[in-house]
Amino acid sequence: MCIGFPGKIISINENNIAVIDVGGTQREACLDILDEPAAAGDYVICHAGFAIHKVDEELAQEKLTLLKEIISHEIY
Amino acid sequence: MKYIDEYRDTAVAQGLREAIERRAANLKAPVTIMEVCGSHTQAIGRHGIRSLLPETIRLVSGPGCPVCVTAMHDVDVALWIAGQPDTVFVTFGDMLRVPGTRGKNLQQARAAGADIRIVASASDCVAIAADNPRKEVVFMGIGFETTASTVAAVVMSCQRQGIENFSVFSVHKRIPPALQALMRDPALSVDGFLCPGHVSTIIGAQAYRCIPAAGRAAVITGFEPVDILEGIFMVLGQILEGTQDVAIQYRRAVNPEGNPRALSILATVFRPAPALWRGLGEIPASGFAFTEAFQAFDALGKFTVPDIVSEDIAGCRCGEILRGILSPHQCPLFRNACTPLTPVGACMVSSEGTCAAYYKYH
Repeated sequence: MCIGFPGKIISINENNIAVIDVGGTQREACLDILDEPAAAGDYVICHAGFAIHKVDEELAQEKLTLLKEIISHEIY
Repeated sequence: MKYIDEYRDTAVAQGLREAIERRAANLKAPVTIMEVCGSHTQAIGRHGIRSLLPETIRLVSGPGCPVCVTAMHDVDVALWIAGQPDTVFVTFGDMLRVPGTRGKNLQQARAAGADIRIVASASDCVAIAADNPRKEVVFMGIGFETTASTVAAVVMSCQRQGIENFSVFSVHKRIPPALQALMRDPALSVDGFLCPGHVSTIIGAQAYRCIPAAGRAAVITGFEPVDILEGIFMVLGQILEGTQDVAIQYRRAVNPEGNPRALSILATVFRPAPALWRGLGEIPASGFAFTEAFQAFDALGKFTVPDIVSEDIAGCRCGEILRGILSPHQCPLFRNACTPLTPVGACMVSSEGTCAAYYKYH
């Protein structure tokens, strides 16, 4: 039930409600409890109609690259 | 989809599987890892994670499906509230078929004429309250810190807007006190925990320090196959090195400090209170009651709920399954009297329930 999914902010209205693109489907999410200011183009994790976390794209990419390197070099 | 597809990459998963095997070869004894979250249970089944692991690694499911841990008595109270005149009872869909005493559920109450509505977000209650000014709109607040934060935000918004015909029956639960209670049970044999990803988005890593303090590994883990395999791999690392800690695998969604804004909203509206868990009984500080400033939104303050005597379901082993002591196959009702179409116990209702996930995938 604590299902969360990542999506990209398309737009934000005057009530702090964002339209989020989730794999081609558009959904709405309220930004009232989001941890950081966000703008169109940012990725957020959504849960039950609310965005709960702004994804740090650089950090996510860095971590994934590191994981792949570690696996391919068999030092993990 | 970005942030999903990369974490379903077969080559990365295969690499992790081999790395897990190498680490498992160094284990002195078999290990048991508990996935706390219902979404983990479902993902582990769906992606066949168990079949990828060496025999020395056993996964057991914990009390992390909010629907499943909702106490029978709370279902009975919900049924009573939903049956009151001039009341609109609003809930997440998962809750509809959770059995109360003698198998009664909200779906039957709705069929019998109660105004029970399903929403995907607590924020939908605002429009329902506006459309029904002469009725009391009661939202059944289930879920852990993740969902409770969204409900708290809706309550604050209703207070700002002066909406008075809305209240919440708060049966929200807090994860860390439940884990502490689990770890005090001598029957629990668990070496490490995959901690729930999205609960941790809100509460952060420090909230789980009770786990390493009890000599067990803890890794906050995401929900895709690569996430889960990496989480298991990190748990093995802690066990092998004897350095139990709270690590974060799911870094793209979890900051070490959690989400301070959501935590602040949560603490404004709710305070920790004792709560009743199906299978675990009453656990101190494991629920959320309203703070003084938001008492007006407490459904239990608006209705005078009579004393309801709840009765356990004969033969149902949900309690032991939620504590990771039994697996669904060890329950005599599983696949016999209890199936997803005709659930006897709560764990068979939600797709994230341990029994429902095992029924579908194992």
